[in-house]
Amino acid sequence: MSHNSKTFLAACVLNDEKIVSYRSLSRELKVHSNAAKKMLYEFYHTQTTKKPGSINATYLLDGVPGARKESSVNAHQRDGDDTHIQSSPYMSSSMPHQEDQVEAVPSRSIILAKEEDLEGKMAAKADFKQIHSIHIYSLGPSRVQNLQILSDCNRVISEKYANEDPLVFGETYGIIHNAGVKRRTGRRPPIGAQLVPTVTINEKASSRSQGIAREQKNAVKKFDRSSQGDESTESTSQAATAQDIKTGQPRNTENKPASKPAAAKREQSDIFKSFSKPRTKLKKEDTSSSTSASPAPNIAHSDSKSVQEDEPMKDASEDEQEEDFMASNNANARASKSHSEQRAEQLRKMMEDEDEEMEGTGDDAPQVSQESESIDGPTSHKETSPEAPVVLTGGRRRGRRKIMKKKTIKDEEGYLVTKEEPAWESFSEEEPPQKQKMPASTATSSTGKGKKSVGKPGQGNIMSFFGKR
Amino acid sequence: MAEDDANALLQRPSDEEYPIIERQPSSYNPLQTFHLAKGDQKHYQQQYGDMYFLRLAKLKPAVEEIAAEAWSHLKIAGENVRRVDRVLDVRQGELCWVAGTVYMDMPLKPNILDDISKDHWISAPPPREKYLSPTGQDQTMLEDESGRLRLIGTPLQISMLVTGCIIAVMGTENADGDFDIVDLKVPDLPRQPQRWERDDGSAILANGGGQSKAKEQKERRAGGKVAIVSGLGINGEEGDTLTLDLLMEYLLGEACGQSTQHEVGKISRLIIAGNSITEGTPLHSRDELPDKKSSKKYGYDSSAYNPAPTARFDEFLATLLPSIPITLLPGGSDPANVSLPQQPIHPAMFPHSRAYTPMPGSQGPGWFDSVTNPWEGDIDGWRMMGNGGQPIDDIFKYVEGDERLEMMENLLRWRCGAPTAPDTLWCYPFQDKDQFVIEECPHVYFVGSQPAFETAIIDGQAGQSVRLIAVPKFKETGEVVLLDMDTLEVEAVKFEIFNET
Repeated sequence: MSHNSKTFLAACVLNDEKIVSYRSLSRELKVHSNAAKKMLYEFYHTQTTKKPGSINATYLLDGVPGARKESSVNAHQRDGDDTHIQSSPYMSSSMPHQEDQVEAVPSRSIILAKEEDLEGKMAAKADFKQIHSIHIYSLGPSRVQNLQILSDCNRVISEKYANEDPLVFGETYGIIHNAGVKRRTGRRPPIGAQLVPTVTINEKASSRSQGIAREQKNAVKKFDRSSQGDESTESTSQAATAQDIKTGQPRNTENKPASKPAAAKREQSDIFKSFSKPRTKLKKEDTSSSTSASPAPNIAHSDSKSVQEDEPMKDASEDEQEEDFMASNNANARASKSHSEQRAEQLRKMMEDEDEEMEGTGDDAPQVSQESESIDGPTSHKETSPEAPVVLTGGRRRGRRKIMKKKTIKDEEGYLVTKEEPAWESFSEEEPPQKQKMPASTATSSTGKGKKSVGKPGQGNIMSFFGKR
Repeated sequence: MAEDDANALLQRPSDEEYPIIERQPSSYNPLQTFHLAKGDQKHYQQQYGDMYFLRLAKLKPAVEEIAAEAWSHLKIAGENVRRVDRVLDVRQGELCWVAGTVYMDMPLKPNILDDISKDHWISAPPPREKYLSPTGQDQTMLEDESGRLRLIGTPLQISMLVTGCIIAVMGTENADGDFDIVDLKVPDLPRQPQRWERDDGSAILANGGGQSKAKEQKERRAGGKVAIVSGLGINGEEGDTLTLDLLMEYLLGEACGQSTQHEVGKISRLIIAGNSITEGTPLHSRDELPDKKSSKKYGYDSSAYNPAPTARFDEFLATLLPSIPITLLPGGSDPANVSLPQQPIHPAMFPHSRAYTPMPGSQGPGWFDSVTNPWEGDIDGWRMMGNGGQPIDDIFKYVEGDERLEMMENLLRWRCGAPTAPDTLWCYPFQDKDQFVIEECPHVYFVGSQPAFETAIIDGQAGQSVRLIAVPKFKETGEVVLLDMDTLEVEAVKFEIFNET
């Protein structure tokens, strides 16, 4: 056994220049962890007598921390945590535990230290009043700069020995045995599948998490840069749609991406770039005007806002509820009663229109947008604010979408209760009605700016759907 | 000798046999107090106002009993103190006492009506550290279903009050219409069950009493220890998890020397009190939403979700579970619902550890018990109550100073586990019962994710004694709290990496 350990350690530490912890050694040789700690010591001892400094150890110390440690730790915490300083101390009538607060709580410290930090005045050992135990934690070929690297040993263990049943092998390694453990008998999860992504992500994690933040901020830009097959094909097919519509020819999704993918892609990015900036400006304008405006115009503004932003369904519905509330206020204030009625009327129409639209016969959608001029922002808003999701929807070949259907009922007390009911609806581009709808709306809503305006036909309809509310 | 022990592992290997250390069993009997109804039974249409009503209805008798005892025969300047039923019945110049709910009127407190009356599209200001107004504009009110009284007087300065706690005040209404209080009373600690009370009760019910009790008692060996840790803060990145590894090795009994390993064998359970994972801001601000939408994808989206933290946490749990049972409370940053009571983290998050959860539909707690936050239950006969720290962190915003233990004590004396919910703390709109009202005094009250480790014992009028434990964030302090289940003594274990730069 002892021989085994020497060969293994020599191979690992000296030849492969890997770090070996007592845990990895005990797993490798199937020995008790305490035995592994001794093996590490033996190997370390023989090696350093042979050639001092050839290998480097880290130690785990366990004991009662000394006074110096305590105070320094506390001082450190004070520095870091007390950001909010109160002017006067807080007094309480009932503080029976005041003495208890200074009660010394027994504590124990477990410190991992490099070999060079072990001895000496300011060293790890000096932090302890009493040391219960000390053992070698790991051996490595050279000085470890950052001890955090050692956690790699445990990561390797969890991967390499993942197939071992911990209940069977635990005793070998000296893990405290528990007779009461209850475990399901079913199969265990596939380990390889789980761990592989974990590892890769771990390595990339820091750069990745930053990446996410960045991605979220300029998700629009992401479209042109990302090389993901999905999106590029989608955008390509989108551009293809645009062309088809323009030329009025039946489109063939299969060969289009192949024929001019690069050009289509560039077009797409241009569209997004040119739209993303104006849209934010418009938003700002609206916000400032709505703050100063009176309630009634406010509604109009928030309408137009929802048109621009085209937020997820959820938000649109929130918006609507708020407006219901405000609208009823207006009615009470008798200032714009007729207006609110008119709005209600339009709303109802919209609901009908929308249903038809979803079914694919939405020829009257453009009409709706005309009807609603008074409420919607200037038509130019609609034109200049195409939204990526909708664009994508246009390019998707088939699928199901979730729509929120609103039902307004009068309850027993005479209140109007609006309920949202999610419903799934399948749609497909092969469906003729959906396709025909696009040119129709293009004709009415576009100002004939060529490809750009063609890019949002499917969208125009949905925008007006939001705009109504 | 001690020196020999310490250096026992700095020796050449011998043929020594290492005994297998058996872990102390844990008697565990959780309560389901904070489990919400599932599916259709759980809805959010209700008004929150009911919670205040229910709380007042529940706690008013308790505080009135205490107040009546103290004040009923009290005479001040020849005038008898009179009890008044409703806040609205208080007459000017008359010495009286009345019970009600405290409401703190603080200009800096977030106010939904303000948000709406201003611009509701504006993004939320950064959360405040404290709601306390530096210019002293804060007012304390006492309200019940009839009306509201503004409170003034010195007792307000010396006692901690937050919105939602139920108190009784004694004093007079002055010419300004303010109620000048002379004294105030809180409901104080509720009845505390005896140790093993609940387990005995169920045992008697099950076995018909008699000889079974003696047998039960025999099985109750000397209690072990319970380890409580909070704020593991796993973020899935390499480079800061070594202390976590040390904790794991310590709890498994692999690290350290034999004497320590034997002591670790006495740790019969690990409680994780929230914030195990740092990743995850479940709510996105409005600014982020439109952008998010533009990259809409169905199903798994690797750019929006990072599985590494949960995978790492799962691995941590799965390594420990063969040796030690775990109770897991969710916290503010964990993948559970945000509003209190947070429901258990679903075992599906933990593909490896879920083998230790009970089979669906089976009775009894699992070896790996994913529980609610707050949570209460019996461990080794003691009633334990704990949360992930949110109620205390929210009280902190109302009061001066940072005396976490005092906040915890007051919370128990108010008999309300989350007084500031639903005002400034998100919670479920309870309809039939305010679950946060503490009906039985716990023996141990622990609160996770606190700035530093603190502990104290508080006593009640009726002989109650509660161990308070503020559990620090492990990620910042490296500290784990060990609670001795015989004496309720605590001990801190600190994991450190020396000279870490």
